[in-house]
Amino acid sequence: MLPTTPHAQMCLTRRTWLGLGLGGLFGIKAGGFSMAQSPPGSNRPRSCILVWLGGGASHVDTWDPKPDADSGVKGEFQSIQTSLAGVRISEIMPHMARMMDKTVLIRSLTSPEADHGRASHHILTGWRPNPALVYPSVGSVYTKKYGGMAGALPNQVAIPSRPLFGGSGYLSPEFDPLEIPGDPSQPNFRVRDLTPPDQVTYDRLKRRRGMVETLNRDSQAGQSEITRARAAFDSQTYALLTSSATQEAFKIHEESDPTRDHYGRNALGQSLLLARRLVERGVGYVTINDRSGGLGWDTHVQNFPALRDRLMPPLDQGLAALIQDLDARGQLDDTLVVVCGEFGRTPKINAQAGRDHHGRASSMLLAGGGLKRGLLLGRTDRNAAAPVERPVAPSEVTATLFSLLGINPESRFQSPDGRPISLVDHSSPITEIIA
Amino acid sequence: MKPCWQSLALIFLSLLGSSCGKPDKPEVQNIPVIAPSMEVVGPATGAALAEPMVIPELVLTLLDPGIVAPLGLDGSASAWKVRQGNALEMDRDALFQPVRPGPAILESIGSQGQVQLQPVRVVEPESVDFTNDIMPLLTRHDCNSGGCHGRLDGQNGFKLSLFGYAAEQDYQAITRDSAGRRIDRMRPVSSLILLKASGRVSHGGGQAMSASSADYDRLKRWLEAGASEGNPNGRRLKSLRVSPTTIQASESGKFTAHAIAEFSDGSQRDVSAWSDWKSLDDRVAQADQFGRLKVLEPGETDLVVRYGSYVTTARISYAGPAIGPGVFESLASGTFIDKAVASHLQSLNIEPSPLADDSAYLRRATLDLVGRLPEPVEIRRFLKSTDREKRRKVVEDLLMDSDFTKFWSLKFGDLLQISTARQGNSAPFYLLWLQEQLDRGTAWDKIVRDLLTTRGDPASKQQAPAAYSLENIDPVAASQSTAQRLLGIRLRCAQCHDHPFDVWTQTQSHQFAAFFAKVRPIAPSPGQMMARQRIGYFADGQVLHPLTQKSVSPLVLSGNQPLIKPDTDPLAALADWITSAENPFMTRAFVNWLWAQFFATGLVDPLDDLSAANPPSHPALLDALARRFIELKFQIRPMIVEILQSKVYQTASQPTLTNARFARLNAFQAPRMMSAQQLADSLAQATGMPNRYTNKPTGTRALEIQDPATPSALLDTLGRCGRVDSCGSGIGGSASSSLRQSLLWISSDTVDGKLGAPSGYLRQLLDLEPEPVEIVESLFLRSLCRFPTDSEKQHWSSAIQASPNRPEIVEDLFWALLNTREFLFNH
Repeated sequence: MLPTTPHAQMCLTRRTWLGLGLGGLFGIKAGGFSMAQSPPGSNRPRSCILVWLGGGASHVDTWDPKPDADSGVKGEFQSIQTSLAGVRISEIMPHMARMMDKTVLIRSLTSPEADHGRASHHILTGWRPNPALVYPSVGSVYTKKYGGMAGALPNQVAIPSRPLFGGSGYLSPEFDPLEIPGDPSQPNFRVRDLTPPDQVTYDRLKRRRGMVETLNRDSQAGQSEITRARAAFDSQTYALLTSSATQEAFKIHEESDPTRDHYGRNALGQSLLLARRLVERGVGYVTINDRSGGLGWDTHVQNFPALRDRLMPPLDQGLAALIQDLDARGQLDDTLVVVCGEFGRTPKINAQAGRDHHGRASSMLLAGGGLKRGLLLGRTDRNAAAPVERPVAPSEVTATLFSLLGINPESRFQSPDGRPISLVDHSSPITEIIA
Repeated sequence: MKPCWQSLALIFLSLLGSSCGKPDKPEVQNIPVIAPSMEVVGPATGAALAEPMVIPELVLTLLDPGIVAPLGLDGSASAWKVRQGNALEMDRDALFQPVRPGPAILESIGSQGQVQLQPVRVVEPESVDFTNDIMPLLTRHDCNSGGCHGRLDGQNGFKLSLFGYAAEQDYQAITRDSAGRRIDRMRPVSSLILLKASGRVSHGGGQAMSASSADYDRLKRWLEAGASEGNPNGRRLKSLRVSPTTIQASESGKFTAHAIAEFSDGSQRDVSAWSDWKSLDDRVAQADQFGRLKVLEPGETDLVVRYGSYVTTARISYAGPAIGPGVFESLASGTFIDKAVASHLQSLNIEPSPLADDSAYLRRATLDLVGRLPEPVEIRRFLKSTDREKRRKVVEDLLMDSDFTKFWSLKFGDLLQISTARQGNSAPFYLLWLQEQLDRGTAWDKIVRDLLTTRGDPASKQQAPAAYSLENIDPVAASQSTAQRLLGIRLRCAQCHDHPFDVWTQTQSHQFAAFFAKVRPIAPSPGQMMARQRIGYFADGQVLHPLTQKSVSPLVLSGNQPLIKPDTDPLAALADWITSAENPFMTRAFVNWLWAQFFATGLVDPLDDLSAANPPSHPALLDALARRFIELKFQIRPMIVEILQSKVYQTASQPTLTNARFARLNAFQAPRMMSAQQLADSLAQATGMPNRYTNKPTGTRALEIQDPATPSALLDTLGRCGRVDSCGSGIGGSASSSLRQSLLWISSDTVDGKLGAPSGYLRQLLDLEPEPVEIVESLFLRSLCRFPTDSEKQHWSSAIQASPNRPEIVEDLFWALLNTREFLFNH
C-alpha cells in the first residue's frame, strides 16, 4: 500500500527518518547491531588503520623539512632523499624514506583550529566543533554502516584507547571502538575484557551463562526492546570470549620473531603489527593512538631530542614495516593507512626549544586503500607556515576517507534534535590522490 | 474567488429504519464510528477542544484525480454511490472521478441505516500556479527533503528550499537557474524537470512520479500554460488540517481521511490527493497517497500529513476486542493520572497489567528517588509492614533523604549540562547552588527565573546561577538551549530556515535569540583567570537577522509580549513570560521531563520536541499534569508525589498476554535502563565493594561524582552523560546498551574483582558458614531486592549443596544474579 519507489529508497528522506524514529538511528533497537560479515574476497569494504599522533606532530621536522627556512624555523634536522623523486623528508625517518613511493604525502593540510580538542574533533569527524553536538568519528560511522562485528571480532578497535573525539558522538555508544588497552610488546600481553580473569575458566563462564539464563526465565522484570538489546550484546560478548578466532587474533606472540623485530619491539611497533593482524582477520577500522609517553607529540619543550630519540624511531620503523608488510601480503590496496595528528607545530622555535600549536599548516601521510602510489600533494611556504598550493581542509580529508571506505560522504544522519546532518561539512573527496 | 465551502456541507442523518435504508447491503457489517473531531493545535493551546465534525463541500476540478469514498467509511465500492448529479463517476478503484462540471452528492448507507451525504462540486480546471499547485508536489514527492534537493547546498546543482519554505526561491530555481534549462517553454513536455521527475532521463532520485500519474499531468499542464508563478496577491495557503483529527475504528478495515487546506481568501480545498501521507506505526494502520487508510491491528498511531510546507497530524485509534469494564475498575479508581490512563486504555480495550508487588515497588521507588537499591533491612521492614499507606510513606521518607538531592541534582545537572567543560570554574558553584535549591524545595519557576536573571560572578556562592548566562556569548545558541531544555522546543532548525514541521519561523527564532543578546560574560582581560568572568548587561548587544542583517527586537514565541523597558534586561522580561502560569511551554516541558524520569519514555518523546508534528501518547494526561503542576505552584517534590502515588507508576513491569505492544501507553511499566550512576552504585552496594574514582576518597559513590570532569572509565562505559551535548535522543536522556558495557560487566574485573575481595560482602557471608538456603536468600535480597520464590530457593540451594566447591558455585550464583535482567534494569 505504501509506495516504495526507487526514489524513496535512494534518499534518506524525512520520511525515512520519521519511520526510524527513536529506535532507528539513535536509540536502541533489539539487536541494534548487525553482523556485517562479508564473505572473504567479495566486496568487503576496505579496512583502515589510523595512526594518530596525538598532540600534533611537527611537520617541519618530519614530512615537510625546510632547509632554506629562517634560522629560528629550520630546526636541527637535515633532510634526506626518498624513494619518491623530488621529495625529501627529515633525516630522522630513514625507514620511511624508502617507502615514500608507496604513499601519498599531503603537505598542505590547513585547519582553523589550534586547540587540541577542537582540532581533533575537526579532523576525526569532518566537522568543526560545535558546542551543541559532538559528531561521530570516521570509525564510528564505519561501524554504523558496516556493523559492530566483523565475524567473531569487533569491527572497530582502538589501541590502546580512542583519541579524544574518536568515538560515536551523537550516534549511540554502541558505535564506539572497542579499546584494547595494554602494551602488545609486553610478554604477558592479553586483551583486557576480551579475556576473563584467570579463575574464570571456559567451563565456569559457561556455567555462569547458564545460571543467568535460568534466573532470567523466572524474572520478575519484563522484557522490552532495551532489555533485548542488552541480551544481544551479552550474547555477542560470550561469543567473543569463547571464540577461538577472537582469542587467536590478539595472540601477537604467534607472529615470528623476525616479523616482530621488523615492526620494532616497542608498544607502537607491536600495536601496528597487531593492527595488521586484526585487519587481516576482517577488522574494519583500527585506530592506533600513539601517545608515546607523557606529552605525546605535543612538543612545546625540547622538540628536537623528543622527536629524534623518543617519538620518531618507533614510528619510522613500525610504519615502514606496516606499509611494506601489507604490500608484500597483497593487502595494501585493501587497507587504507592514515598517519596524522590534530595539527602541525609552529615554524618558529620557542624559548624552550619547542614548537607550539599550529593549525594553519601540517602534513599527513596516507597509503594504500585505493590511493595513488607515490604522490605529493600541496606545498607550504618557505617557513612551512601556510599552504601556498592546494590547501586541504580537514573535512576534505574526512570526505576522502569516507569515500575510500565505501561510504558516501554526502549521506546523512539525523542529529538528536532531528536535523539531517551530512557526514562531513560540505567537502568533497580529494580526487587528485585517489587511484 | 467565491467561497466554495458550506459549514453544513456534510449532512449526517440518522434514518433508522426509514425507507431510504437499504437493508440489502450485507457486506457492510459495521460502519466504524467516527468520534467528534478534535482539533489538536499543538502545545500552544493546551486543551483539546471538542467540536462537531465539519467537513467542507469537496471541490474538484476536472483535472483532479478522483476522490475516494468520503469520510472515514468503508472504501469498498458498494458502500458509496452517487446519489445525485452526473458530475462524478466511480471507477474500478472505487475512486469517484470528476467527469463534468456541476454538483453531485454522494451517499452512503450503513448497516443500521445511517445515511451520510457528501456534497461535491466539480469545476472547470483553473490555471495551475506554482505556489499553490506545484510546490505541494515537490513536498509530496520528497524532492525538497533534506536528503535530496532540499539540502543546504542542493543536489547536483539543483537546490530547493527545505520542505518548501521559500516558494519564490524555488520558482526561481526551477524556471531561471542554470540558464533556465530545467524547463522548455517551447516544448513543455521535453522540460528537464518532467524528464527527470518521471525517470526518463537519468535522475539520482529515480522516478519520482510516473508519466501516467495525475501529479505528472499537473506538472505538465503548468508548464504548458507558461509555468506561471501565480498571482502574488492571490490566495495563499494559510493552514492545513486533517479531517477527522481522530479516527476511532472498532474493526480492521479501510478508512479515509481528508487533508483540508485553508487559503488566505477563506476558501478550503480537499488536497488529499496532493498531500504526503504517513502513518507513524504502520503495524496499526497504513496510509496510501490519497489518504486512504488500512487499519490493521489494534492500537494507536499518528497520521502525519504534509502539504506544501505545512504538516499536521491525526490520531488513529483502533480498539481491540471488547473486554469487561471490570478490568479497568481498579486503575480508574486511582488518581487523576490513573483516570486519564485508564480511560485511554479502556477506549482501546487494552488491559493494564496488575500492580507490582511490594518488593518490586520498593526497589523501583528507591532507585528512582535516591539512585540506589533498598537495603535488605529496608526490604524486610517494608514487606512486613501492614500499613496500608506504606507505599506513600516510603516515598515521603525517600524524598527527605539527603541522597534525593544528590541523585536528582545529577538529573538536573544533565538537563542543564553543568560541567567544568561548559562552565569552567563556575561549575562547582553552580552545582552547589542547584543542590541547595533541590534541598530547600525551591519551586521550578523560581529556579528558572534565577537561572535567567542572575548577574555577577558565577564563581561565587551568591551569584552562582549566573553560570547559566555564560552561554550567552552566542545568543542564538543560548536561546536554542533554553528553548530545548526549559520549553521543549527545538529552534535549531529554524535558525537556518523556517521550520517545516512547526510554527517557528527563522525570524521568530532570531527574535527569541535577541532576548539573550544584552546579557553575557564580560570577556576576561588578558592574563585574567576564567574564574573572574562576570555576567553583565551590555546595552549594545544585538542579534542580526541572517537575511536582512538588521538588528532584531526581542519577541517571545507566542502569547502576550512582555513589556521591555528601554535599557533594561530583556531576560527579566523573558523570565516573566516563561514562568507565567499562562505559558503553555514550560509546565508541559517540565512535567513531561519529570514523567520520563519515572517511565521508559516521556509522554512526548523525544523530550525536547513538543511540536505539533509529535503528539503526546496521552494528550489529556499531559494537560492534566501541567494543570496540576501549576496548582502545586511549580513545586517539584509534591509533583513527584503525584506521579509516584499513581497506580500507573506502580504497575508491574511485565506485560500481560495481550498488552505487550502497549508500553508506550503505560499498560505496564516497561523496564528502563539504569543510569550509569545507579548501576555503578548498585553494584558497589550489592557486593559491599566501593568503586574507585580518581582523586576521590575510598567509599565515594557514583552519585557524588556530579561533574563529568572526574574521569571514570566505569561511568563512561555505563553511559554517563558527558554534558557536552544533550546526551542521546532526549535532553539528559538515558544511557543505552553497548558491547563495551557487556564486555565490562561479563569479563572484566569490575564485577569479578568485587566478588572475590576479602572485605567484600560475599567473603563475609561465607565466613559465617550459612546454610545453602540462607545463602540463596541473602544473595537474592542483596542483588534483586526480593526473596527468592520457593522454587528458586529449592533449585539454587540444592545446586549449592551438591557442589564440591561451595565458594566457587556461590560466587558464580552471585555473579549470575548481578547479570540478570532483574538486576541490570529498573523495572
